[in-house]
Amino acid sequence: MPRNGRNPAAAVRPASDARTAAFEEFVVARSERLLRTAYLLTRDHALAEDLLQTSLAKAWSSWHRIESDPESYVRRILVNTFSTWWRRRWNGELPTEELPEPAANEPRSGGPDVAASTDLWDAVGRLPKRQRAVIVLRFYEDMSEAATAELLGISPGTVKSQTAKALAKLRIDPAILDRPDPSTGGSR
Amino acid sequence: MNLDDLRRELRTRASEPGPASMSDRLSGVQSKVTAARRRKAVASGAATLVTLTVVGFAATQFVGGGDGDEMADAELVQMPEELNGDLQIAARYNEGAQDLSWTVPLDDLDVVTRTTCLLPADAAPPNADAPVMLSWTIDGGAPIPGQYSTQCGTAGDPSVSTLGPTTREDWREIGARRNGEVQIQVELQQDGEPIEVPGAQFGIALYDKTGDRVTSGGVELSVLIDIDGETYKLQDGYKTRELAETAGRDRVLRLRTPESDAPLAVLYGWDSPIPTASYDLKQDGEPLDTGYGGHLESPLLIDAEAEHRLALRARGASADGVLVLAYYELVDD
Repeated sequence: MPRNGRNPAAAVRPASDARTAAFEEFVVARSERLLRTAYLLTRDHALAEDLLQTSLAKAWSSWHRIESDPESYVRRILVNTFSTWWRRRWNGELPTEELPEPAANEPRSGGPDVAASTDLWDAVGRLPKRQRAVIVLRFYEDMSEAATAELLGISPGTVKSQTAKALAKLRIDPAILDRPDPSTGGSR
Repeated sequence: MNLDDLRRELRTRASEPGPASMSDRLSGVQSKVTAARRRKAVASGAATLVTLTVVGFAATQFVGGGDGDEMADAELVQMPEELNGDLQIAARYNEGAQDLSWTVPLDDLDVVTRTTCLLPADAAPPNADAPVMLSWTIDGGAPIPGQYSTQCGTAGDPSVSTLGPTTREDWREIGARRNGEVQIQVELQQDGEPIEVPGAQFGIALYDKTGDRVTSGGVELSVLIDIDGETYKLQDGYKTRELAETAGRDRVLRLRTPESDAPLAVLYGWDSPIPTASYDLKQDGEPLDTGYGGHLESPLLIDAEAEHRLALRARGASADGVLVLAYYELVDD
């Protein structure tokens, strides 16, 4: 049966069959997008896939309730699962407390843009999980403070303060702070 | 760094994961559903494998009810064979009936009862605004002691409650004797009245207290507890406080929890034979939960990315019993 072609027999299929088909269609259509969010949170391909599958499994048990808007529900599960998951399961995610000292005048492969990108990505990885989630929701998902607050189950004020703290941490992250400013030739 | 840099970086990085195999992904989801069900719920009666309609790729099988009804609702919890180190002796389930009667032989009184209850998604209890409670009596036991009540779970998330006599003394108080038997009656209630909720699933199990326990203030605390398939261990520093019947004065129990890589499980409550007064639990000054005296609540998971201050405050009404506040850390396998 073609994916987008509705089989008339579907109308008389058992409810569980129809529900499973809807679930699988959702996975096919939307899970890549959710995987990207998972990757931004976990910073590891395998962990992102694991987080996504875990979230989908949780969503499946409540599918009959969330069919009308499953994506936002799964995103909520995904972000909250990430926030409460712990390092034991996430052996791949052990952000270092201290940055390795860059060697003086050490050339960065790939040029200044690539190096700046790597530094920013690493700095995002050093954010606490909750702050990282707020940053991803606000600046990747482009969600409002109110929507972010609702998804995370916290107040808009907390979203605002967590966002401010996260951005402040990013701006003073040593990797970013120590980078020479290409426009001035000095440090930022 | 400005916000445009950040947005650009996130979009660039987000495109890094390559395309994945959808059949692999669905197989992974299926495995997790199955694993979760092994931990928390097993299909009622004879669980069946249902081959589901597949859209566009290799067939996937999920475990579900075989009657074509909603899968989540077909998943009836069964009490685990082992919980908190305690081994199950026997269990009974309603199997579609609206009540349950069970004559239980007791070889020993060092046992506890645990219940489970799940309402179907389309449950329509008589009072839509009142919780549906699973209520049971042991040897008639009306109204107290020997009568217990716990709220049913919904949305595929069954409640599991340890409630009832927990010590030999408790059992004796309700008339139970070693090598005797007790009669357990279970039904659904709203506002204290029996009700019927078609599709509701519930059960009650008897467990041998084989798990390690410590006793503090006369209250037994399990050393190991199981939550969602993970094991947590009681940490030193747990607090208990025996309350005198002193009216009009709040009593507070405080506990600091450490920073940790994993969430912590907080056990709290007011172990009192008479549930006459309320308490509240706060975390760093913010409300976390409220409850009533009578029993300990199911453990609550809190994040531990930072230290926290917990405060359990029993409201001023006159009541005795023991306040309990403890935390458990995840046991690394």
